[in-house]
Amino acid sequence: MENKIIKVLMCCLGPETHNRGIILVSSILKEEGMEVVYMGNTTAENAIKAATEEDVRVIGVSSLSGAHLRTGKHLLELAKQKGLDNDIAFIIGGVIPPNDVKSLKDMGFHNVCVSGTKREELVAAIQEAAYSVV
Amino acid sequence: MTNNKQEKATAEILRENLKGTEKGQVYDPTYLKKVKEGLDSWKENVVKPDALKNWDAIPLTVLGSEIPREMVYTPLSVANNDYGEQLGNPGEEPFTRGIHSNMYRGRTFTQRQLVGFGGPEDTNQRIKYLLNHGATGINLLFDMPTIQMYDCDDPMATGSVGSCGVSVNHVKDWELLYDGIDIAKETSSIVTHYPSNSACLFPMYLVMAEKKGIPWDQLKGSIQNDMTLEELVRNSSEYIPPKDCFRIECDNIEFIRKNVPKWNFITINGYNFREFGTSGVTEMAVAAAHGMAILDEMVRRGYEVDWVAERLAFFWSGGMDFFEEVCRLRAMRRLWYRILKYKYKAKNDRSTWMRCHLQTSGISLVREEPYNNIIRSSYEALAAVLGGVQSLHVDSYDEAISVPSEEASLISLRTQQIIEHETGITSVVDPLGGSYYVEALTNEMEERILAEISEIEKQGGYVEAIANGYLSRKIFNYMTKEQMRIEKGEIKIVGHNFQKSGQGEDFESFRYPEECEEIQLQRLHEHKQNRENAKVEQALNELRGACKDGKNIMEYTVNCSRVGCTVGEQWKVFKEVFGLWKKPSMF
Repeated sequence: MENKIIKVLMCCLGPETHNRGIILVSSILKEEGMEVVYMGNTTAENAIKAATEEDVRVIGVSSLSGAHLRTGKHLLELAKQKGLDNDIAFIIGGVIPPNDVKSLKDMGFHNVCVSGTKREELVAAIQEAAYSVV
Repeated sequence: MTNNKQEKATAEILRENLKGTEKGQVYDPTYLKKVKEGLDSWKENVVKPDALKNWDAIPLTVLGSEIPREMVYTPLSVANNDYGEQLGNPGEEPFTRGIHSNMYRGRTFTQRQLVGFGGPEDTNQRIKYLLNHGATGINLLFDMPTIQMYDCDDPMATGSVGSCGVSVNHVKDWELLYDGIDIAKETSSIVTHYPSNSACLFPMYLVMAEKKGIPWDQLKGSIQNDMTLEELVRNSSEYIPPKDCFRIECDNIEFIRKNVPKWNFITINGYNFREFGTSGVTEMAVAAAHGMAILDEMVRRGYEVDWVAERLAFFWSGGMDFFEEVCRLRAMRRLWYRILKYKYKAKNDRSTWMRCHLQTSGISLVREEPYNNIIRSSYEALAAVLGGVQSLHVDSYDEAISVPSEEASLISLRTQQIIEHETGITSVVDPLGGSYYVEALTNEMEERILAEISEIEKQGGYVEAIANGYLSRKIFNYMTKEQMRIEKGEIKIVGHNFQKSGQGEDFESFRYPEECEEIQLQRLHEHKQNRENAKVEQALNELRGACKDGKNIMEYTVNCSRVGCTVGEQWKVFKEVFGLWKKPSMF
């Protein structure tokens, strides 16, 4: 799949104040040719709604404040309720302890990109996620 | 609001005033000639041609400014440094060497470790733990919903309550937070971040003091109250316009200066701004421009410069370029003195002091081999103390992974105590003063900060430089360039992009008590049932009126706190009256 047809919605769930990560990742994905819908802070409900309207393949969540398990679970449950979990792939990244990486994957996140993830790895993670819902 | 466009540039004012103030040369000019001859011959005969070719090198460091450094510095590098004009004795103008004559011999730096997670009672215990282990101040951080002014029952708060800080919604939460802590004795730095939430949260602290029977004039500490954070650094879906945010900031300053005289009503924030992505030079230039905007506005409101300036304080980030960090603190002290003395004609010495708190850089810490972060933070802290800060927080080694554990917080506090009690560096004031390198770099830093102040003034001043997106673009450019440098390995980070070992992947991290969300929801629910809702409505209506009529907002938010309004209810009033502002896009 070519990067230019991959559309990613980037968001922080809830009132996350840290945004260096989401801005850098969004700009990297744009540089790599993907289409980025930059949503910033939002609720799980609004992220899902926007993802449907914008017809994105991947939702990328940035979390740095430690709330990833709770906010992540809420997002995935909502997607399931709406029957979208097979149409959209979910990726989460940020300050995430090693032990939570597995929990998030078990929960249904396609990939977890912890802070410091390299450009190539990021792009590969998004490509893979996008493939999984084709 | 003053428009700096029509006024003389700050740099111009300083240049005019500094002309002819030289007091004398430290080095004998004839002897300097000999030094020059010796240096030239050394370069020719001793230094290898390759080394000579690379005489200037640029250290590439996280959050660095990329100022070229010479291979070695000599008396010639500071030949024109006039001791009295450029340095002075400690505690004397221009305060380059420190704001107090005996510095840490008299009063050591306050050891103020950030604390905040979960519900009020969780954080209360951690505060007591740190105080019991020798912390000399409280440094309070709020959770994401509180900082962003959403009550815990707002849909935006779902799942985030108690994350990365403590959840407080109303005065009763504050009482639990400070239970058993003597606020007449312990000083608190209340890290509210924004003017808007300072306007809601600080009154709750004041009302708590009232309930404890402690008069406001006995309270000591600081709040952040910084517009740079609310309008530039903050990540949000809702911003009020910069001019209104600045007005709230100044209302807070005015109210606190009048009613809580020992309280530092603003901590001009460089930290979060720099951590977001900018050099130590830009960090200080923006903070200085911000300080000047406040002084201009308070003068416009009819107050004396000194009345405001003597309580202004700064908050810096401490990066990895060791000497740059030391030098820029010295440079900023001198520059701030000159601005206050020559531009604002301040009368009291205290008004000209650049007093500051410093936090070691969080962004410089990495996940890989996390214990290395202790070493990084220690060097950053050491530079801060050598640079003469008043107060210090050392980041914990696990911060690239989670909110600090109790063990990690203690190591941070111990880092400060080891610097103070074991290294001996606090026994001499400004121990690096007089080093050719340190003095030359201090001069260079001052010039560069002043040059960036001029850039901001060309944009129309601090508020306009935020409103028109100039500073957002500047951050974005710095951030992406730094990212590329890290990706390419030009900025080396041991264990991260250099000498990698893959260790640290099994790290057990601290988890905040997530169940606090249910507890806080229940507590807020009960609070709303037990308060007199008619009074709440009335107080919010009066606040609405004050916002519209240009009255001092904090006069009204204090009343809101008294009758039990929540943070979220007051933020709704601000949004409704001021409307929402679309922040200029970063990319």
